[in-house]
Amino acid sequence: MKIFLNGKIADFVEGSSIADLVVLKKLNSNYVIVEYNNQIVQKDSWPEIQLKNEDKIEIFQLVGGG
Amino acid sequence: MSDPLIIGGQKLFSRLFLGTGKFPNNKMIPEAVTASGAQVVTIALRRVDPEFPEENIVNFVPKGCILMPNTSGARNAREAVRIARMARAAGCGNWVKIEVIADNRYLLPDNYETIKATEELAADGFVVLPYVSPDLMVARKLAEVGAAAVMPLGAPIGSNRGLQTRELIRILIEEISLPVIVDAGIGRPSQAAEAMEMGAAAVLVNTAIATAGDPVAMARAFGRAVEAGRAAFLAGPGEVQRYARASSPLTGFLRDED
Repeated sequence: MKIFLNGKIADFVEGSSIADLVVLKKLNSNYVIVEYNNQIVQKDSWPEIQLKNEDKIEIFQLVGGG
Repeated sequence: MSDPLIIGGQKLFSRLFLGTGKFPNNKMIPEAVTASGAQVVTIALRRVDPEFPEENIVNFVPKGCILMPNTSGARNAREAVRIARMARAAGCGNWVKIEVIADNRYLLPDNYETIKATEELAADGFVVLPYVSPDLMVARKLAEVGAAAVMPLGAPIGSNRGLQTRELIRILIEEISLPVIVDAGIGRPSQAAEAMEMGAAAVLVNTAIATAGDPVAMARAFGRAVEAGRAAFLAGPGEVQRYARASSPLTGFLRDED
């Protein structure tokens, strides 16, 4: 299955959830913000969202800025 | 004397807002915030690079500070609104600095897109502080659509060139009832003090502090300069004169009159 992760094509196992993806990428779930097909999704719902082919995932974090 | 600045219903006792970009390391940020006395601290939002995950900047901002995420990276109103909503979802509260930039050389803001984003976010319950080129009509429009303050640039971002837009900022301060916060370009504490003496409500500083030889010491210097400038504004500076006016009596010592 192919998804678009932060604008790049990435391969993932069918049936993975957003929570799985965050763990797989070794991201700290407390720090990241996820957009699923252009909608912000809260952390509580990450395990319930099963990724489908060509889904668009954007993962953001807070950084220093002026 | 109590002289709070009230924005979005919050009483602020420091009129220095501090940015967190470009510090040599994150550990310096809490020290700089504390040394500066700043209560409003800006942060940004970026796509995660899974290969190089960064530390969470929020962990380096002392508790009790108001986080003000900016919308840097937005090239139009739609992107600014998206970033603001994401930052709010990330638990940053409801303050936002609108920054819409499509010019890469001077990083000048797009005032038109900024007004559109301000209107949408203010209607959505955000406390919106838009970063703009100083323009009276734009500032009036921002007030009309619900901005909590206007933040004109003194000089291009990160340029340390001071109050190059002095005259236009002066007009905004005179004509706009919203707080005018000078953002961008302030390179020295003396320039921050000057903005405050002119009647600016606050200043936002990042590069001048973060890239100083000793950022924490510079943060302290800026904190003091902002306090001094504000105190001078409240005290009412004397008038500028073309000719000398003696400070000591010139008559009555050896002769009564010249």
